[in-house]
Amino acid sequence: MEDILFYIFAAASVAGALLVVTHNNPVVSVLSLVLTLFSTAVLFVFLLADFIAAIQILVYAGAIMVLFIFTVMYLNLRKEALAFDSKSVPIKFGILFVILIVVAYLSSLGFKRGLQITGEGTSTSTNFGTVEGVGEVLFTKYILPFELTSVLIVVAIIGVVAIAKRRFN
Amino acid sequence: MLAWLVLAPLIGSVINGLLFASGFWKKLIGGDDRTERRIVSFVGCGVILISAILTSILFFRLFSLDPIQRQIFEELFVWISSGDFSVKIEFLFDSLSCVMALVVTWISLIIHVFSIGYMHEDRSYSRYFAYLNIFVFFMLILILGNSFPLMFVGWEGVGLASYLLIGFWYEDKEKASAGRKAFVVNRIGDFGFILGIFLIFFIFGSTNFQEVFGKASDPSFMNVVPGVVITIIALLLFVGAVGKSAQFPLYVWLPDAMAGPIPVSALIHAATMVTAGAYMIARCSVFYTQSHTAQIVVVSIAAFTALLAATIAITQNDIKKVLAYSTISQLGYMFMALGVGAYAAGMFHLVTHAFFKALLFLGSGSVIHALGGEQDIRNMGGLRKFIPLTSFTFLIGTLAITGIPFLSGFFSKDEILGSLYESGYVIHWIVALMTVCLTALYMIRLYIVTFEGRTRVSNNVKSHIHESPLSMTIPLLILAVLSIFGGYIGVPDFMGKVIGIAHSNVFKDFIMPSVFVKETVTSVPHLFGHWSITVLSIISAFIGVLIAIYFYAIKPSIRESLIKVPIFSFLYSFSYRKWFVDEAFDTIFVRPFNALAVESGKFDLKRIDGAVNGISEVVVKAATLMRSAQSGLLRLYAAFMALGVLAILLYIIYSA
Amino acid sequence: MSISEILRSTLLIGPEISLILTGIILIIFDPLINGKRKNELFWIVLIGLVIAFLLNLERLHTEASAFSGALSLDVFSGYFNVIFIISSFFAVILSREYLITMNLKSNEYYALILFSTSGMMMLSSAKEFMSIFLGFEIMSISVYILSGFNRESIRSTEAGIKYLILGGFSSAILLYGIALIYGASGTIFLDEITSKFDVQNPLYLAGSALIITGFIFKIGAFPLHQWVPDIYEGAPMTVTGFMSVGVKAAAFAILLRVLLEGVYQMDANLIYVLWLISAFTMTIGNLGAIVQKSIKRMLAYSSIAHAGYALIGVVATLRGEEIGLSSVLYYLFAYTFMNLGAFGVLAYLSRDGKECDNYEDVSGLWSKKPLIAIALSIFLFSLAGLPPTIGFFAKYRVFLSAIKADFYWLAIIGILNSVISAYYYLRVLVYAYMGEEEVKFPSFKPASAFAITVLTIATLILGIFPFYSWDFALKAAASFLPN
Repeated sequence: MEDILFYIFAAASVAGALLVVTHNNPVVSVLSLVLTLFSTAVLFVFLLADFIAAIQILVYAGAIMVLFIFTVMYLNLRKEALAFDSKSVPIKFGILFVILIVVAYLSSLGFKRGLQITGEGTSTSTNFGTVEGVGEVLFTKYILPFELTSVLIVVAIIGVVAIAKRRFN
Repeated sequence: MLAWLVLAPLIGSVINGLLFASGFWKKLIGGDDRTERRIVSFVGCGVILISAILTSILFFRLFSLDPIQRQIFEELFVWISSGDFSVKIEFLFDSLSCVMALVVTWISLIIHVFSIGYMHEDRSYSRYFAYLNIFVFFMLILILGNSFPLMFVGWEGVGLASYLLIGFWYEDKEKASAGRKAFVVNRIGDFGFILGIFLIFFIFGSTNFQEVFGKASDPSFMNVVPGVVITIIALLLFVGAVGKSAQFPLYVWLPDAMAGPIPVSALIHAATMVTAGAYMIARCSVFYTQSHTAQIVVVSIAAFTALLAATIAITQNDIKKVLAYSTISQLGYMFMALGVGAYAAGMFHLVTHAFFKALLFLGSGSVIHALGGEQDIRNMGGLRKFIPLTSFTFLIGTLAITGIPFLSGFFSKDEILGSLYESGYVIHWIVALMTVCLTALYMIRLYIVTFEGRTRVSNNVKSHIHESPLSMTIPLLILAVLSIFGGYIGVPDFMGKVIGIAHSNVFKDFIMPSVFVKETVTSVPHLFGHWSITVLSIISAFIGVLIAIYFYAIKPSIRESLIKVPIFSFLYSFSYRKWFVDEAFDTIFVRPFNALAVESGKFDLKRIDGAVNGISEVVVKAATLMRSAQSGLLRLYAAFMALGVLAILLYIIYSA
Repeated sequence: MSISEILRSTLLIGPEISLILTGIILIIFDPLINGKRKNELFWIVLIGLVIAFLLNLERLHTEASAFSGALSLDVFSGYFNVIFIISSFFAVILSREYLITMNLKSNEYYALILFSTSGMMMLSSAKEFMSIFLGFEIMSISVYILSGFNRESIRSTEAGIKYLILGGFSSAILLYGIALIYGASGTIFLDEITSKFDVQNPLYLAGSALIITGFIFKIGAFPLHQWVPDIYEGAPMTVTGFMSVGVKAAAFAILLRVLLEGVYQMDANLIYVLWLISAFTMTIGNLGAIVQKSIKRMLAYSSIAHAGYALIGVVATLRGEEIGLSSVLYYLFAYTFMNLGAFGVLAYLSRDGKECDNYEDVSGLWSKKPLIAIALSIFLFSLAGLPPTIGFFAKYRVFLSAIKADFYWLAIIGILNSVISAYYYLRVLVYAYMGEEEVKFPSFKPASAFAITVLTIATLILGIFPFYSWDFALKAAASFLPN
């Protein structure tokens, strides 16, 4: 059951991502992105990361996507505004797929030569994936990345201001 | 303090060279030529004065130490460190380098001051001082460096400075090629020197003076090293000295080097740089003292050089050329002394020679200056009336070099002759004695023809003759005083006894701790005592003087008729054409090499250049091809990146 | 990890914090000050950098671990921090007049340079993939913005966007690699990964390959080099100078860290990949530089080539040649001075909103601005690897390390490439000394002149007396090698 659901949502997120880049209507692209993010959130649930799943939906699928849609609407982008040759897209994707399949096949050949994929299960303590659990790790073991993220956000804000602000005289 | 003493001239050179040559100051101050010249002279002489004062302070500090401990080290930092090979920038100030440094800095100062007057009309005034300062810098590195590589840096550096200064008036093709000749001939010597350094490092595992000389004077170490190796080291180093100090057969560059300005000839090609070879041999005394073969080679070449140069000097008509050959001859004296292990005597002659030869060169500079560039002594004569001060100081220099008693040259020459005889080199001693006579002959001749008799100066030049400015005559006077009294620092002990001083040879006592001398002295039957040797050398000097006076002042007509006698005319032209050495060099080396060069030039042009041009065409074609991949399209870049990532990924997975 | 441990760790990262704080101070004070005096915040930037430098000195003789092993504050990181701080210090000084010339806002610009530098410093010490990634992004995003900082110029804007997209692409590759490694080992700490590393497990292999590719992008090495010329050419001159030395050094720092502390076991396979990358990078960089008509673009290609030279040392290090590591470190150090200097001269010569770009723009420099011409020739000599400059010694060390590690061919390729490179570097000088076109040069710029003077002297003095700085590199390398 879990496997079936996993494949459904995994497929949905890939399909959504493909639509984002191929569809020539920007609104559809944005909504496809919502689909991808939502499906990814479901995958997080399978990994017992409930809190991350919730955040994913709240922040990305919710807040950020709404902002994107507003922007798209505000700019009033039409199909013809895209400098995108939509006719050649299927051909290019076809080529890309062929290449990827060949690579995947070659890689699998490489793996068959006695190489073993082994993954290490992460520890599943009782409060793993909960708000408490994430919070505890975030503010002790991973405090540095957490703080660095804030610096990163400051940088991004400054960048937006610097680029968007009119030049002063 | 040592570091600053070395660095001061470099700083001066940088200021004068970089800032003035680029016209920076002119833009900054907006000043005229005269202010610029004043600043150049101030900086150029000022930095040398600083060096000279620091050297003197260090000298007094050194002198106050116990004779055995007279060494001051100053380590700056590690320069090269590669495996076992490491070179420190470290300076050594012992009695040997102290003497050299004192001579170099003070004589340089005097000559710098002289240059202010002599060069005042030259266009490239600041360039001249920049070169002169950089010369002093490298000379001090050579003297004070405490390892062979550092000495070599100075060695090459003074070579460079000498090249730049000989070809200072490079617009004149002949002068530029004289610079080139000096450079190329020196290269042959440097080749030997650097091979010697390699061998020293190979044998002793170090290039630091203390370590090398420590091991070389340690009998337990030397028992392992075959004696022939030491001889080879000594001879290779001597090849370097032969090049730098213009000994036979590499002396040919020095007469041509007179193409440079006179103060340069005085400083570099008489007083300091050319004596670097002598200094180096004194520094490496430990090798020479332990190799009898090397000693014989050194003494023989030196004696031959001294005689050869003296015979050539008799017939030359260019005032600077005479002095150049005289320098070569005097350098021969120094090397004779060094070769027999009388290092103190050699160094002593180096010092006194620096005084009187600088005086003679500057004197000739004053003459040339007064005559507006005339160098041929046949067009001079009778100048004593026009420029009395110059002629008086020139006479003092002449008497000093001739070996007239109680002037500086007398004492140092006497030391050398004495040590030659006492060490058993009787033949060499006789040659040296002959050279004394010849020296007196050509120097007195030079003086008489230039300053005495009827003047042969043309009338329109005559009206312009003037005594030189103070900046030129004061240096002459100082050097004259030094030429008279400079010898009293090293009065031989046996002479000192007469007036009741036990250790009158202060100089020798000062130098001896820095050189390596064998304790056992070969006992030679003394035919004559000290005094008789002295008297003999005085007599031969006076013979020379009398011959010169007779033939050039009293009866010039006899000389002219004598020259017509076949045997004398042959000897005359043999001397005048410099023993045909230049011609021999030309047929043996220059012409075959030229032919070879022309041929290989043709080959180079056709085959090698063709190949090189072909390669460069291929490179440019490949580059153009590659540029077409750089389309500027983002999509293509991304696709190329993806391909690259996939390639790396597959390679790593497959190669595992 | 207790509160006291967090406090202790925080105190240890003083240099990083001082830069971030300086950046924030700039942003806060900028709106409060009006008009021309805004430019005076420049001094605060310098003070911040000097403080960071002084705090960093502590790191040069101590070893500490902070944030439960996420950061390793060793001599290696201290060494790289010196490079970063020097490059950002001079980039800031050179920018002062350049920004006025190009009519750009200054304080956001300085703040971004400071943030970028702090990101680099994070990279040099991080031993945990999340911090590595964040440091990487702090550095990169700042630089993306800086590249597109001149919005009046289409090329600058284009460079910013191109860099952002391609950089995002490379970050994705990096993240994917990190995810694979995490999936295989269950940890993101390098130490633990090293102990669990299994050459037979394709997840590790693919993961490390992808991670390394991500870093190679930032180094600007083949096959991920194509962005370099376009972006270096479009970005403002001082930014190009800054990123060609700072970002590159940071990418090398983290590449070495990951290679030697994370995936050292797979050296046998990686060596030849990096061998090929190094050879191709040098060759492509040099071939590309030959045909350029713009000095800036030529220097962009030359920076690709220099990445290739430095990679020679990395290859030698993987063969176990200790000298290799110190030679890479030294190369990056040397490259900082000479390349920043070369870009500094071009920034100096820019005037009235127009960059000094083409060969013709330096024509006749010698007769009008001799000192600048001398400085330019020293930098170019150094880049070409001619003695007695620092570039010669750095190249010599790198080639020597290749020979010691028995990579003769790589050394030969490197030497041949240096020979080619002399052609295009010296071509600039031909224009500068013999060009006869009438070009107007800007008037005296004190701050830039100061920076160029210091860089010139450093390039020369460190070239003539290289052994103090070389000892420093040796020490940094010794503190770091696993055995």
